[in-house]
Parts: sequence; structure tokens; C-alpha cells
Amino acid sequence: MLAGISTLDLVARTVVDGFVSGLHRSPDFGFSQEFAEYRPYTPGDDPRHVDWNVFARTERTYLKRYQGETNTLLTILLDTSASMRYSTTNLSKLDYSRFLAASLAYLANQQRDAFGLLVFDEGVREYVPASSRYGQLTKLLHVMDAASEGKQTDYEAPLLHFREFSRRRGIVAILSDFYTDPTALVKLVEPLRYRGNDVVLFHILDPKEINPDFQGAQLFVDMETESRMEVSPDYLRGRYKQRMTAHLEQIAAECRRTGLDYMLMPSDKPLDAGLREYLSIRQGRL
Amino acid sequence: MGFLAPGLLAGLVAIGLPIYLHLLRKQQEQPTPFATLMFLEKSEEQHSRQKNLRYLLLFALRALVVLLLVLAFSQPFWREPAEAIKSDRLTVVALDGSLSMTREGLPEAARTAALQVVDGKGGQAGQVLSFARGATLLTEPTGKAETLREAVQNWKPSASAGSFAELAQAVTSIAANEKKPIDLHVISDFQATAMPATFSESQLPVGTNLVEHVVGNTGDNWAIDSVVAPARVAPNEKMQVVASVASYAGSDMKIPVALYLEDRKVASKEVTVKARERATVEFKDVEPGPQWTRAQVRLELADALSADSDFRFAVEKTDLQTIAFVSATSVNLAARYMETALSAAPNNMFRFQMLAPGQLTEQNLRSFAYIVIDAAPNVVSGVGVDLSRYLRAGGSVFLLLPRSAAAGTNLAFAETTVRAASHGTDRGDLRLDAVDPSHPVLAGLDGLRAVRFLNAWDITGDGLNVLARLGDGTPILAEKRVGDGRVLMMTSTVDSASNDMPFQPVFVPFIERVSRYLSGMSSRELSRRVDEFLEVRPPGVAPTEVAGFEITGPDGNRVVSRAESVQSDGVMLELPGFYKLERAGGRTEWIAANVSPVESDLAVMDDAQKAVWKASGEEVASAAAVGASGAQERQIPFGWYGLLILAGILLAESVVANRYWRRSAEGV
Repeated sequence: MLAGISTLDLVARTVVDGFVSGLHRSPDFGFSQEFAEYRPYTPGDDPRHVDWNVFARTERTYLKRYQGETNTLLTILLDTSASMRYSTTNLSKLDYSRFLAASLAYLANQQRDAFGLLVFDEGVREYVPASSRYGQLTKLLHVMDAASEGKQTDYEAPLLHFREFSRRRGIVAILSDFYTDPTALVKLVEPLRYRGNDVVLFHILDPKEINPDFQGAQLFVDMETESRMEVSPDYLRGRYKQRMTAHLEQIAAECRRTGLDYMLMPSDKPLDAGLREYLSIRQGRL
Repeated sequence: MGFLAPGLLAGLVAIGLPIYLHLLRKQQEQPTPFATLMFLEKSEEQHSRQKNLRYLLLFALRALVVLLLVLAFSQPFWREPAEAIKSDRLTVVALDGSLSMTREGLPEAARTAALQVVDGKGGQAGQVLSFARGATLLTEPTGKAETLREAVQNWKPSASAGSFAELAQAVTSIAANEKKPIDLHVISDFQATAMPATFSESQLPVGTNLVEHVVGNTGDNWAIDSVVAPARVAPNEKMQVVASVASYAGSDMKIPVALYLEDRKVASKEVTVKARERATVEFKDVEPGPQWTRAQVRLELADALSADSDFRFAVEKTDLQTIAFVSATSVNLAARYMETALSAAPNNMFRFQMLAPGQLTEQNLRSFAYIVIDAAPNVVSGVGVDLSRYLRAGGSVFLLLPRSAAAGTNLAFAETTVRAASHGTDRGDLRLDAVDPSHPVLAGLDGLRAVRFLNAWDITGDGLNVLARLGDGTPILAEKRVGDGRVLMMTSTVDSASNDMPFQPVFVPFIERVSRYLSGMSSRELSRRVDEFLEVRPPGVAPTEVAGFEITGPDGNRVVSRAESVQSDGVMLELPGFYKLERAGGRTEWIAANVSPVESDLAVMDDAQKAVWKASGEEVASAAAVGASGAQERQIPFGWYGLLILAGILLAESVVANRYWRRSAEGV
């Protein structure tokens, strides 16, 4: 367990520190570190946010406000259904998702943002409400590591659950392989957006799911339903690939249409590169 | 069903190989976990099912290949019961079409017996044939009883002599073609004379079951088996006819014998013929009619076989025929010697006419029996007609080369060239050395060797047949065929200046033979037999329209037309009676045909002889038909059929496997 946590922690540190240091070493870079405005101090405000430099020059007390102070609450929805166990490399989609989730949590933790975790398959398996308290990261890493492989995927139940218990706006990151109808998926996710959340869909896929190169006919077993099907290689190279591409394009299109962020993350893609790409996009939006 | 090599059935365990490869290995295939099947279509699943079906088909084909291989090596066979075997045989109804079967009531009895066989053969295929001199297939092998019945009803015997050798040969041929054992139903009077002298000729093919259907029985029969009479008579000459009467009866008989000329009885006698012996009847001073007389000696009694009670012969009364002697001088010593010799011959039929070379015309050429040419240089050059055309149309020339002939003379009509002369000495050392003894002119004339030749010419030419040579090799007598005609060349002459032949005793018969030979008289026979081939045109002679002929049979039907004669050298004499031969130039001849004397003996084969004949086809047949158990059954091997099916399955396997693996390899 500890070894698992330390792995997650280590990967998260390596990923986040690596790409942060590569990005101009700016301490203001992150989910909520972007400077937003100055606000006059009023009694009851946290004196730690007083900008003492301004006070020294003007003898007025102003509070430095950041973006994160308005919406920085990261909730990670982690899909642990059986299909996430699929792997053609030494890293399953679920493992990759865990690393990504840990990285996001680590990044948020570094920025003192609150962050939480919801583990789901066909229902909610674990839920850790967002918090910025000390020990939240460790707690999250524990939950992630303990999250066992689930069964089938059902997005409705976990999203309803999240909408029910979520009171604050923030960032919602959904990590899944999204084997469902894109329209139905977006229809479920879109309400989160109405509530002022920034929603980002990390689409985790094994590279062989995108570009299968099986030799000979294959008898496939659905990892969620356990139904079997023998498939010829020419179909996998042809029709399957077309349908998969169409599926990816449809999800991306639906996300664009509804203002959701979408990131396709093949499990062979370096995590730091993926995160950098996402944050760059996010920075552009802000 | 059984197996000749059942031990090899152990090879059936080899079927386990395709079972392992296709079924067991298939089950061991590990399914591949996949995240989702949501992008796989139903249609692709059907394709997979089709492939599975092909896979199972491939398995089935391969299992069949192994199965059939094992079965083929185990030599399977069917045990077929006797009833089934019967349907796999061919029933051959062989009707004896020989003359003896024309006896009263026998054709009907034979047809009845044949129809019974046809009706009783069941589902077996059948074939009807008639045999005598040869075998005639009246039907093809067929299961249609109506066809067989029709053939039987239309059958009738012939005038030919019967031969079981011909039957055996025909059945052997049928067995080879049909590849079936044969039930041979022989419907015959089983004359002993029909069995060939060599038994092996009547050997029946393997698998032939001979069933005898004897019709008729031995009856008392008498026949005229030969007649001696002159084929030609001179004018005002009477003839003597001697007939030989044979008895095939068990008792003596006094038989009235009559002589008919042109269907008119001219004489009658009675002769007593002892049992199984012969007697002769002589008719003297018979005066034939003018030109041709169709004569017949007839036994005037009712015996078992009437067809052999008549013996026909044709006699030609010839007027004196003219021999043209072409010479440059009216007095020719050779002509005088020849004329004298012919006049001295008994029954002389020739007279002489001296002609100068310019007196020969196209019109009078045909009126001469033959032409003698004394080939002095001025004679050869002075002949004013085309002798080649005369020769090609069947004319004859006797060519003499006197001392006055010249070396280098080209005898164009004879396609011969005169070369150098050969001169004998007074001691007479030039005599005949080599003689063709088979030639009608020279046969038996040993006196020619006594002739001393003083002068002879060497001649040369294509197709020259030298009949006699002198001691120095010079041809003295040679023959050359020109078209239908012939040239007989004597490289000397017949006067006393060239040789001493005129003074030798052999001279008269020599000249008579030459005259009969060249005039065509020597070749005529008094009568012929049915089944003989009447050769009108000698073999090797190219037929021409000019030399065409026409033959009319005894029944009045034309058997060879003039147009057909171009393709035919003669005719097969199939009916007893008189055949009319009309040659080119309007000359008519009559040819008498009589039945074979072998048909007159109606004695039947004894039972021992029939048993041996029957056993000749049965020995192996029974061995093949009887199974090891002794039951009447047959083992029919069908391993070859299995191999044929195997080849077909291998082909199908190749196609299916190729398609199967091609689709599987598309992903590689």
C-alpha cells in the first residue's frame, strides 16, 4: 500500500515538478495562481493575503486576489470500470489514470487548492470531498491506490451523485475511456458546466485501442460484459478504426459544442506532456 | 462389404490428426480481452460464422481424406449376391445364321428360342447377333427388350457356312468392350463342321456362360459337292458333265439326278449312293446353248437340306476368236508356226489374221482375242493406233522380238526399251535357266528347257516381270501390266531362225497356253462357292472409269454398279445362284455360286465337344464369381472409386483451405 502510494506520489512529483520547472519556473502558474485583482482589506479577511508591498508604498491594506480564490476546487472523477484494466503495454489505462489523477492532485496541493476524488464504475465506489487540508493528498493517494477494478461503466449515477454533493464551483476532471454514446455522455456532463464548473474530460485509451495491429483473427472478450466475438484483422484495421476515429471526433465535437475541455490521453503519452498541453490550453482560455 | 486388407483399417486412428488440429487446438485458443466490443458490427460476426463453417468444412474434408485413404489401402469390396450379379451380366443371343439353319422350321424355332431368352433375361442388358461366315451385331447392348425382340423377329439365316470360331471372336470383342461377363445363348443346330479345326479359335472369353439352345436335329441329307465340266466349249463341241453326289445319310439311297440347262431339264439319271459315301453321275454329249449356258445338276429328292441339292455352273460356248498378227510382211514365219500350232491343239478356239501395221484401227482392236506384234523396227513405228489405250482398257499383246529388231528401240506402248542382243552359238548353250513355275503359261511346261535359243534381246522397263531367263541372264519371257491389260514379251520369236522351239513338242501347248492366257480363257472357273470373293480386277491394278464393271446378283439386284466398281475390285458371293458380270466393252460373263459343302453334313457336335467348349469360358468365370464362403456372390472392389473421390476431395480441400488461409493471412 505504502509502496503504491509512494509510487503515485513520486510519479506525481516528478511529473508536476518537471513540467513546472520547464515552464519559466513561475510560481503563479497553476490552477488558481493567476493574479486577478486587488481588494481593500475588510475585517475578517485573512491577513496572510494582504499585499504588504502595496501597504509599504501606500500604507493601505489591499488584499491580493487570485483566480483560484473564486473557482479553484478540483474534483477528479476516476473511472475504474473493467475496461480501464485493458493494457497492451506495461501500463493499464487505470494505472495511467491513477498517475494522471495523482499528478493533478499534487499540482492542486502545491497551489493550496482544494481537491477531491470520486471513484466510480457503474456506481460511486469512493468519494473524497474536496479539501485543502493537510493530509488531503495522502488521503487521496490512498483511495486511488485502493480503488479496485470495477465492473461496467455507468456515468449517470456518479455524475448525479457529484452534482448532488457538490456545492462549490470548481474544476471537474473526468478520467475515463468513455465507451459510451458521446451525445449521452455530454448530456450527462453538460449540467456540471451550467453550475459554473470547468469540466475537462481526460480520454484515456490504450494505443492499441486507437490503432489495433493484431495478427490474425482474434477472439475478443469484452472486459465489462464478457461477451465474445471473433474478429478478423482486416476489420480491425479498417472498419473498427473508422468507427473509433468517428467516436473520438464526435466526443471532441460535442465537447467543443458544449464548452467542455477535452484531452485525448493515450496511455503511451508522457504524462507531463499531456498535462502541459492541457494547462496551456487552459491558460489560453483564461 | 468387406476388406481385403482389414489390418490397414488401423490407420483410421490417423483421423485423430485433423481432429486434434481443428477441434482440440481450436478449443485451446485463448480469447483476447478487449476493452469493448461496441465498435464491432453484427455483420462481421456473421462473417466469422461463415469462416467457422468453412473451418468445419475444411476439417470434414481433411477427415474424409484420411478416411478414404485408409479405406482405399484396405481394399474394400462389395459382396454382391447372385441375384445382383445376374443383373450385371450381358445376355448375348447368338443366332446361327448358317445355311443349315435354313432347313424347314428351323428359322422359326430359332426365333422362338431367342424370344424366350429375351423375355426371360429379366433386367439384364442384352444383345442379339447372327453368326455364320462372320458375325453381324443385330443390336447394340441394350436393356430394351422390344429392340431385342424386333431384331430377333427380323433375323433370317444366310447361305454362308457356319463357324463357331467367328462367334467366339465376336463374343470376345463384346466382352472386351462391355467389360462384363456374358451369358451366351447360342441358338443353333450345332453342326460339328462349324467347329474350327483348331479348338483355340473357338475359345470363349473369361466369364462367359454358354447356354445351348439346340434347334433341329440330324437328318438324312445328300448333296452334290462338285461337278466337272468344261468352262468353255468350242462351237459344235459337246460336253461331258460329271457330278459327285455325297451322302450324309445313314442308309443307301437311289437318287434321281437331273441336268438342267437354262432351267430346262435336258437329262436325268438315277444313282445309288451308299451311306456316307460318294457316287458320280455322268451326263454325256451335252450340247450347250450359244454363248453362255447356265447349267444346274439337281438331286430330285426331298432331303433335310435342299439348298445343297443343286449345283450350278456356267459354260461359255465361244466362237473361234481371232488373233491379229501384225507384221511388216504378209508372209511371216513366226505367224505360220503359231497358226499351225493352234490348229493342231485340241478344241482350238483361235484363228489367225495377218495385219499390216497400218491396218489396225480403233474399231477392230476390240474384236481380237489378242494382238501379236512382230516388233521389227518398221512395225513398231508403223502401228497407227494407240496401243496403250487398248492395253489400259484390258487388251492383251504378245510381243515378239525377231532378229531384225534394233537395239535401242523404245516400245512405248509396253513402256519397255530394247537393249543389246544376246546371240547363242551353234552348240546351243543358250537355254532356259530360270522359270517362274507358277505362271499359267509356264506351269508344268518343262519341255521349254530343251529349246535352244539362237537370238534374244535384253530388255528393260519399269514393272517388268521376268517369267523366264536364259542361261546368260537374258530375259526370254517377260510380262508387263499396262492398265487392265497386259503385254507378254518374248525377247526372241517363234521362227526357226531365232530358236528351235517350233520343232520342240512343247511348242503347241506353249502357244495354246499363251493364247488362252492372253485371251482371258484360262482364268475362268466353272463355278465358285458362296463366301468366296469374286475378283474382277486383279490386285494392284489401278481402277479406271474406262475399265468399270457391273455385277448383278442371283436375286436380280445390282450388287456392284459401274460407278462403285471404281472403288471395288470385285464382290463377295453371298447367295447361291448365277451372278452376271458385265465388263467394259459390253462383254458379259456368268459366274455360278454354290453353297459350301461343309454345310451339307448335318451331324451335330457330340456332348463331350460341347462340354469342352462350354467349359472354356466358365472355368475362370466361376472362380471369379464364387466367394470364399462358397456362396454365390461376387466381390466387387471399389477402392479405385474411393481414390477417385479422394482426388475430388483433395481438390475441394485445396480450394477451401486456400480461401480460408488467404482470409486469415490478410492481417499479416
